[in-house]
Amino acid sequence: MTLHRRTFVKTAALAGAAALAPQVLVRTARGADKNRVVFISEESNPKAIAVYDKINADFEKQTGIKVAMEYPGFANIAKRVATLIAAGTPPEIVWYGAGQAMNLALENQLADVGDVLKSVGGVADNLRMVYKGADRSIPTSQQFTYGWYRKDLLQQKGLEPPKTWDDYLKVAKALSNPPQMYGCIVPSAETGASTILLETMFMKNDVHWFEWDANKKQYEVALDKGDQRKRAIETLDYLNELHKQSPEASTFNWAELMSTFVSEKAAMSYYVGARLLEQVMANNSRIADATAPVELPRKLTESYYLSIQGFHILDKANVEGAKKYVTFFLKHPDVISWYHAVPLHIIPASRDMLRSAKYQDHPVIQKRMDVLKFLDSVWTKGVPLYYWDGKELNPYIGLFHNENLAGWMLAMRNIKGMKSDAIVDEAAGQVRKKMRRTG
Amino acid sequence: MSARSERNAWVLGTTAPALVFLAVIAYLPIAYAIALSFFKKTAFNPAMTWVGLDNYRYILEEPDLWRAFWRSLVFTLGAVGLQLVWGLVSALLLNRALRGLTVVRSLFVLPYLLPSIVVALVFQWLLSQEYGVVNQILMQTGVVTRPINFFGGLGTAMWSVIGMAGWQYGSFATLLILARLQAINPKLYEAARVSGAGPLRCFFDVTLPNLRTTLIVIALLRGIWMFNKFDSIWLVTHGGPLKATETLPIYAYRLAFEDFDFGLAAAACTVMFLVLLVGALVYFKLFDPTREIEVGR
Amino acid sequence: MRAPTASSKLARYGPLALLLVVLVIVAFPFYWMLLSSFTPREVLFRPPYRFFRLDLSLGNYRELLFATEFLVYLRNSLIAAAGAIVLNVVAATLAGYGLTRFAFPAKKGFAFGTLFSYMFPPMLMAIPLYILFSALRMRNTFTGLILAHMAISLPLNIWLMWQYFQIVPASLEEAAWVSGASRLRALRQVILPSAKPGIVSVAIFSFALSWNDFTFAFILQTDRAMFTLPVGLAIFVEQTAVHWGMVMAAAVLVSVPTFLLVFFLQRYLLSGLRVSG
Repeated sequence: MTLHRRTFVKTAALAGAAALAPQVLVRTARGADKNRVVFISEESNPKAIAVYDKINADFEKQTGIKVAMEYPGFANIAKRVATLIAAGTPPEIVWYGAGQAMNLALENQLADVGDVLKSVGGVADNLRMVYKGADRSIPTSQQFTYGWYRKDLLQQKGLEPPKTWDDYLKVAKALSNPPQMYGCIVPSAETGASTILLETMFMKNDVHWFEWDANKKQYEVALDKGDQRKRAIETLDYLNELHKQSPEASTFNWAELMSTFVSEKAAMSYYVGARLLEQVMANNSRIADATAPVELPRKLTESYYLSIQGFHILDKANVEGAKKYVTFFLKHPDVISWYHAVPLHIIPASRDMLRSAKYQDHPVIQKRMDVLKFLDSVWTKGVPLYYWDGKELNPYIGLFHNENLAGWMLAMRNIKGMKSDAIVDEAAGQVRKKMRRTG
Repeated sequence: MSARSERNAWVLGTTAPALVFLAVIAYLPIAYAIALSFFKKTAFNPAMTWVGLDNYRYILEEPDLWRAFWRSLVFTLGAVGLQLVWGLVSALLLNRALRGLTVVRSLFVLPYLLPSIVVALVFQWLLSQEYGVVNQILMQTGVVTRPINFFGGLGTAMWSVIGMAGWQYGSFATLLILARLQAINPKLYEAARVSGAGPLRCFFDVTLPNLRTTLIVIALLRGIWMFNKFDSIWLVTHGGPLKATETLPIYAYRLAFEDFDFGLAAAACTVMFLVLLVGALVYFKLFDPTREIEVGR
Repeated sequence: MRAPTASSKLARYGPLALLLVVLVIVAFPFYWMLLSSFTPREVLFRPPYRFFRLDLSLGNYRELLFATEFLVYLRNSLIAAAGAIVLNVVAATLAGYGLTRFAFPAKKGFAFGTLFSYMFPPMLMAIPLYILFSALRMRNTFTGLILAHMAISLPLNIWLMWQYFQIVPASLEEAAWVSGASRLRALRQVILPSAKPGIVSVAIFSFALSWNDFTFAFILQTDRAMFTLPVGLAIFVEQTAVHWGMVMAAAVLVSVPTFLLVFFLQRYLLSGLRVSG
């Protein structure tokens, strides 16, 4: 009967412990704690974490404020923030995409960080996020959506890297040899990779989901009106042509987008940044030198989808401590190491930093200066989605962006075969319906 | 202590721990979650406003909810059916053939004990359109000419997910049925054989009746679990392609964490809960699993 | 002796053939998982694959154990599972015994009540639990996670023990009482041993539900050092272009403790009940 005797003893101990509830972690009441800052970061690369640990230790030494880090991962960070807010224990700082942070701004959860921006020397206009007259984001880095291609494969067929839509389709067709090799990859699913592709191509074709109504002083849905509608349909049809040179990709998200290219199954791909190159170097180094960046092809504009990341401070938490921390972080000498954690992928928000010797002093960056030069050459053409339709911050982009509506459109066109005009009308209708609900 | 109060102490002593745990850990949160469905609450704002039945009115009109409900039914019935058949067949085979091979029995139970994410990853790897060995085998043996997009094809996604759930949870059924099979008094079989019954008769007259309660309980418990299943499906298809595998739990998840509307999500979950409640009531009336079984007569 | 007819051949070899098919279906994913975990990275990127290979490598495992926090997650999962097993066994065994041996008015209500909580989608229970635990300062603790896991496993286990206690005939206990033992003593020395297979089933199911859980672990454990395996795996997979070899290595390591557990508890689980006088 040793089984149950051990069980009883263990249980008694555990039950006693649980009943008396003395907890190992003693925390003082959250709101009043001036000596604590909770920092949730989207970037959890081990090298980046090492930098955080060092800077946090220095910060604690200098100010006595403890910094508690959390790394939920980029797919789950919005959920984590939501759960914390719902529980009444909002974090102090969230470092992630400004587009996502906008959800917080719209609910009046973000603090005014104009003072912090001023103290670190200001920031370029197209990187700001202004809501209700105040800056709500401290941008540290940005990523563009651009293409990656196999120099060697194109050279073999005597092709130049494509610049226009027609070129791109021609090159894709020439290099396609399914199922061993595909000319390009067109993810067609309700995923982020698919959504961002369509939204980028919309930008290239000057398509706008919304337009600013000067009389009503607000944004109205414009996707299914007049010329916008025509161009939207044209874009969908073009991507349908491209999809014929691509794997079916009906479940593809970023991981598949990368692994298809890395395993030499596609001649051209794209990514939001240079992590694709990093994966090539790590998993299939023999094609690393042949992997080169290129702008996604233009139609009416050369604009591209700009993704901005930065610090966002929540209004109902320890704002003072958070602001101190962010300022300390950005002025710390080790901040360069943070940018070097995922070199070429985390691009500085400041062009000066990009061009600085200190930033360029890194073996990977030195090896691929072509990528840096490329980034510099497209520097001002990026537009964040919430400023694409006008000077005022567009609070409604979440309505189509959060649920991957663009991805849905691509999937309906390429997988289900629905006609482009019906898709555009349906999408616009859904956005209007959601606008009515949120009021 | 009188016999009566001693008896009461026993009743309390045995059932209290379970009750207390459940009250605090399960009932309280459920009550809160149901209450949440009557409020308008978005994810990024701690404030809540009372809206009465508005949330319910909205989602009950949403075609997506009904489609998700239908998919939940398909998935639940398919997955549970597969698990019952699989469990029965494998338990019968194991019971007869391999009395001594513990390794084999351990293997059978293993799929159930793996985290859903491991099963999801292994099946993604096996059934991948580009790297999957299953497609490799199918093509090399000439069964198909092009690789099948199992989890990404509009027509194949739901079946692939059902198959995966069957593989993962079928062994739960195997375990329970096998244990019950081994508890059946062998004298019952002797008696049947003596009166001239062949193997098929034995099965229907002795095995199945004794398995009745077990099968009913498995179907009920697995039914509930499959109806509420979120992680397995979400990890392989995220509800796609084009919502082909979006069951109710995934729909609720989408409401909570993509639309960021907790009130709506709570309403969707409460609807799921009520469906199960009604289903369970009907089930109880029909099959009455609380009936004490007779140990061989 | 009669010549073997086609139908008698089928009767003889049919079940065996069927068993073989069943075994392959169950075992093949594990085999493939194992093989892939020992296959070098570059080879995995270039299908088609061979079914047997001799050039195995430990590279994936090395990377997994030393370049990631896999071991930390493993430890956390084991602790949570152990706690869940212990608490579940005690609470469910007691409740199962009480339900079968005593007739009390609320019995059916109690039975239905436990099923009731099992029916609620775990996902939406997680947020209120989060709030509750935050208030009790129990986030990021093992106790909190174990209690949360009980919420989904306890109902099932009560049902199981109830079923198993029904099989243990009252006559066993009565015999013990007749020979002078108290109810408590009878419980300890006579009933519990006979219910061992049931208790072991409960242990295994509690382990499975705890080991398997993603939702609660993700919502309640916010500190990386407290992540369990499912959460940790999900997060590191999304950061890379799915390194299949390493993912399979992780899958193998995660399967090993469960395999060992079942292997050693087989005896208790499937031993028949001896209904002796």
